Amino acid sequence: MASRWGREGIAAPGVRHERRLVVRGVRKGLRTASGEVREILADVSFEVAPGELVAVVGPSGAGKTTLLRTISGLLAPDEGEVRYGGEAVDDVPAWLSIVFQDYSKSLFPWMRNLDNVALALSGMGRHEREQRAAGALERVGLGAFARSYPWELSGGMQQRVALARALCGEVSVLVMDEPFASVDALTRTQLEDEVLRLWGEMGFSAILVTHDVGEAVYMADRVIALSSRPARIVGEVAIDLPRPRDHLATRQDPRFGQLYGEVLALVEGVGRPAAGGAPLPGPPAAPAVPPARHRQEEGDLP
Amino acid sequence: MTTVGLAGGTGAPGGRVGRVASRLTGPAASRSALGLTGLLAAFAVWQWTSLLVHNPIYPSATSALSDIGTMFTGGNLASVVGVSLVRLGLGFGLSGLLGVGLGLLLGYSRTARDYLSSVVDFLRSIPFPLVLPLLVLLAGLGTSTVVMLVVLTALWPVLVTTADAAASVDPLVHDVVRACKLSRARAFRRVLVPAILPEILAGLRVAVGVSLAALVIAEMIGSSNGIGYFIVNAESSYDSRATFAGVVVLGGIGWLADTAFLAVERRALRGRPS
Ligand SMILES: Nc1ncnc2c1ncn2[C@@H]1O[C@H](COP(=O)(O)OP(=O)(O)OP(=O)(O)O)[C@@H](O)[C@H]1O
Ligand SMILES: [Mg+2]
Repeated sequence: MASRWGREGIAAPGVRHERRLVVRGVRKGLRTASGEVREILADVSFEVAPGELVAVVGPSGAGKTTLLRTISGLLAPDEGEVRYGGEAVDDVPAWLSIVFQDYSKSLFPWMRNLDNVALALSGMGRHEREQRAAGALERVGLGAFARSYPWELSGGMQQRVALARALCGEVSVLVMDEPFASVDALTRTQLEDEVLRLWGEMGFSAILVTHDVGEAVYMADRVIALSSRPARIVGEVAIDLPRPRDHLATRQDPRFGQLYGEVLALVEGVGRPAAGGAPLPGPPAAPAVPPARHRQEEGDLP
Repeated sequence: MTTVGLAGGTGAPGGRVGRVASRLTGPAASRSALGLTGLLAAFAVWQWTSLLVHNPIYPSATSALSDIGTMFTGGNLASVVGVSLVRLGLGFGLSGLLGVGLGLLLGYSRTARDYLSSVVDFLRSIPFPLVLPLLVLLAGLGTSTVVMLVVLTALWPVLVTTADAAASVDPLVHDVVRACKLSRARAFRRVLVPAILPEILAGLRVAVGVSLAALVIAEMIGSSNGIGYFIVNAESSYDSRATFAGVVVLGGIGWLADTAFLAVERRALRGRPS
């Protein structure tokens, strides 16, 4: 196992980012149109180790976007705090990047892809900005589309541009809000691997919000499950699948099926909170498991 | 059962519908060819009806055009039009600057909106042409009065469309601005203005027409030169040919201004979908 890719890889040399992101006791209410305050986040606490990839899963409308906006400093929590090392997270810090849920709105149609990416860079000359943005586009395989407009690209390509924008600076923490929710299934697997590759190469910590349990298990070091609104953490599962991960091999691994079931049980509220990483008995009867995947794993389950 | 929970349909790509619609109007070249045909047809109708009416009050198209020609070369129509064009440019330019500037302020700043929106609503419901005599008392006859009236009249459509568009920009745009750590100046230049450029331009285009109307009214009462004055002067001396020439020239100015504006607009929105 390549050191960077495993859990022990966190301490591997060459990893520049050595601070922990700490979310402690965060509460947030939002005012609805009718004026009353609706509780969205009810006491959320978790930590992200340097270089760790944590997935947050939760039902639709649970408050995942609200949680990410709070972690990113776009929203101030009503109570609790978000800290990175000793530093309180306030406004969007320079070391934090966001990939938004809706790429069709986060990329601006009046800018070429290069300028869309370069928008995130400041404090340098135009030439250097464009150089770096071009490099970031190159890294996501879109070097040839620097001079096109985002609306000339497919959804998956647009989300790559958004990824390039998020990764063109000095990023220590990457926050992703259902980044693959609106691309087709094949593109989705490609993008998942793309993100894993960049994460492996660049060494940032990452928080991935998704409502796809399979995606969470496939990508993360640890999966945190949220309840429905108001969101609180109902449990977490350490994902001890080996890295590098691979869609064929990893998803066929019997362990994948077990972990999938554990997370699903948490999300559906039927399972008890899992003790991190300890192998539990197999997943409960899993009607919600996609049939194909279910068939694949059936033989291995107890 | 249709509870299909696939990949939550959050990312409906916006703005795709508009592109189909725009294809129906065809490329710019054939559009202006159609416009020319329409213009020629209008002239034909004018010519034909004038021959039917056969009254010197309603000159034929050809005689009116030749009148305009001689008034431009022999008479003072050229300088009259020149004066008016300068005023129109000044008035429209100032209303555009003020309207866009205040509109951005009101649209993007909650506080500014809270303080100023009732003032704006109050001011924009004043029919300024009716207070023109007051402006004349204030600034005398001439360009400053005319420009003032144009601004006070044409400012509002720009301001209101800009402010409305800015206030309804998707909150995600503001998130992106913050996530990209843009300075305020850069945010406005690269994102906040371009995001509502189509609406700003639509407001400005309305202001072109409003400016011209205000210009003529202002010149009729508040100045002793310009195309508006030329027309009232011709009317009061019962010079129907000059009156007609003035009106046609005025229409021509309006058409030119709008055409020029559309060209600018197309250029400004180049490289955008739909
Ligand atoms: N500005 C707001 N004012 C009031 N309530 C809001 C606001 N934004 C979101 N909400 C509410 O907060 C709850 C959580 O919203 P949020 O967008 O964080 O959910 P989510 O988990 O990201 O959902 P999805 O999976 O659909 O993206 C929802 O019930 C929503 O109605
Ligand atoms: Mg969301």
